[in-house]
Amino acid sequence: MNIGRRESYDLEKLLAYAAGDLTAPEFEAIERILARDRTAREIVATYRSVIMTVASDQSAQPPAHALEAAKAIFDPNAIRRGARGGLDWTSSLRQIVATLVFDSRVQPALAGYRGGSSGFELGFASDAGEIDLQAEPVRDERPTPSGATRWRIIGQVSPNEETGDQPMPEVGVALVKRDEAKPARAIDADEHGVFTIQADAGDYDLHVRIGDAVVVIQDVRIE
Amino acid sequence: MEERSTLPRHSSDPELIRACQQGQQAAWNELVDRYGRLVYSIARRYGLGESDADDVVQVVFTTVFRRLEQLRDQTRLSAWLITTTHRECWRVRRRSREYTSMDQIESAAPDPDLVEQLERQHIVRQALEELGGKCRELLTALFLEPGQPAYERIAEKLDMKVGSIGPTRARCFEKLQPILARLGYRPDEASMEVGDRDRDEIRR
Repeated sequence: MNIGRRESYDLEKLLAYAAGDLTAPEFEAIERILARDRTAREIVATYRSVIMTVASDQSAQPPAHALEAAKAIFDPNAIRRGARGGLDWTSSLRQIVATLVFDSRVQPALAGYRGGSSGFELGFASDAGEIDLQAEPVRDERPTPSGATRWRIIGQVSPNEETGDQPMPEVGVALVKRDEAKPARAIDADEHGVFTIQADAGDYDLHVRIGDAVVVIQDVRIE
Repeated sequence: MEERSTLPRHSSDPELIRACQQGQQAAWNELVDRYGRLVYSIARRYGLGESDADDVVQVVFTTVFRRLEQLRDQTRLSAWLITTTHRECWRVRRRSREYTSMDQIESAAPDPDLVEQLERQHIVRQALEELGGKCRELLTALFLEPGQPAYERIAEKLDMKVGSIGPTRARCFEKLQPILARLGYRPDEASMEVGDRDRDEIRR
């Protein structure tokens, strides 16, 4: 697409030809030019193509709030952390905060929740799915170097979306110690959304990746 | 604190992606402005409701953000976005009870002809946007009338003389052509068949 050979034709006439504006003699004259000039043919083709493209364009401008929300996804801090070692999904995906709906330490056990004198159970709900956690101390293991008790956390993630015969969305779990940016532990759940993770007693945030969303469970005290 | 924008005017997609990778919010905003309409329109084209279409926009741009590093050498971002959006729409329709099985999108991969058509539409929109001003107004008015344009009406609307439309169209299209070329516009095959016009169309 260049229009370098202007001396052999008149661009105005070419476009008039493409738009069907010419008289019969003018039309014949332009056709003779087109027969021998590739650039002229390309110009006419481009003009006609653009007209057809615009005519078939049924696109619609998204609402302003959708664009603003998409712009808000960007997190320069995540990019900078990423520059030091790859993007970290715990900070770069759409984050959803979960709500605690059950805590066996303060509520009586419900049917379906296993009991346990030394462990505890938590249930969380979020827009992306429900997460159940069962925590218990690891008794048959030597104390950690710091002397902290080691805990085993067994979790079950149940996505909210209707999956039908679709496979379970990818589920990943990361335990992030409070006031630390990097996860202390990170694993993938199995195909049923079940995971087991071990950690020292302490205060954590649990990040659960369900497909493209991350459910953030803040202030999980394991002790 | 946001880094100072070093974006050149009318940045290419690879330039935008590089600037995003450097943490420039302005580059990301430009990326969303440039492609938001494409993504949203595909979702609406597949019959998704406004709310689902909004969600698709979020998911697709989240995916873009997650894959910024992999997009380093991406020169056909539009094709990649069309495919990603198509897949997300397919997923939404399959999992939602709002859409009947008759409404389902047939395949997880889009028709290559559709991808080409959507890319062409996106490029023309972007080129006209870049062209700006009176030229954009005139060409858009002319392009929106695929048949014989109603020159009198267009002249009145744009406050110009009918006789000046032809010369102005030529000047404006001359400016548009290099922009289209830079953005990678390729005419569709049907338009390349110059010379086969029905002679009855000639104004006598």
